[in-house]
Amino acid sequence: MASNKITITYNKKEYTLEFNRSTAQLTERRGFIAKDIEFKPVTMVPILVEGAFLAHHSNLKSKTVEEIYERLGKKSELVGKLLKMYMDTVNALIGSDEEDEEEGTEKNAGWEASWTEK
Amino acid sequence: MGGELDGEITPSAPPPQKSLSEVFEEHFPYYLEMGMPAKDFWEGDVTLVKAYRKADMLRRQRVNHDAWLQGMYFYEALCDASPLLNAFSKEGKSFPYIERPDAITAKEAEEREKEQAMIAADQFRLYAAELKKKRGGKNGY
Repeated sequence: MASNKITITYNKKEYTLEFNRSTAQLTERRGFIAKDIEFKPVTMVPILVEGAFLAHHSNLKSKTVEEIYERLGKKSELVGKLLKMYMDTVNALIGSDEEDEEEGTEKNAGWEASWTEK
Repeated sequence: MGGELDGEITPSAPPPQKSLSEVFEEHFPYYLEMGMPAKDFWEGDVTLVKAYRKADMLRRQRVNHDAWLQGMYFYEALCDASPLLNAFSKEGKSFPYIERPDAITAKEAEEREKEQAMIAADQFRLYAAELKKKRGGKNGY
């Protein structure tokens, strides 16, 4: 099964960023709208990033999340990946049987971020 | 502009887009029905639903095959009993119902074939022995 996770290391501690349906729902309730990310990045990106931490680090303070995000490089690439992970929570539900069969031949691989601290 | 009054075609408003939560809530019962635990649906790997869909498709195919097989046995049984259903039949006797289920695997079918060959060989041997007895060992028997 394809795994959609991002692992980042900050202050020698490993953080796993992932979305499941529960955290995607929470993120949406916090005001995140995927189609608005292009026009309102200042509002939407922090909600998305914070939502990605909820699955594995729900007790992490917003300030810490902000700090981690600030120190990461390749931000636009990261946000793109997070958005894809967020959308996968719903796309996996509405995929057709043909798509499922095609994906059976797909190479499954975890995705590890190579973000470097500044 | 008064598009409608001018006879122009005005595009209908696009259907309101569903929120992520609405899509989840809408699909949740289907996956519960497939046997997916609620925890897996909400907190598990998001791609797990694909495996459940595939497993459900296989299950439906098996159920469909079972129903077909049952229909086939029913049809065979009906054919075997058909002489009884014909009031003008001289036979007045039904054929016996098949002794065992049909072979469904290649290995099983091969074993059945061997078994049948052995039964046929035994019957031939018996027939030959009887013939020998009747003819008193003449003509090379």
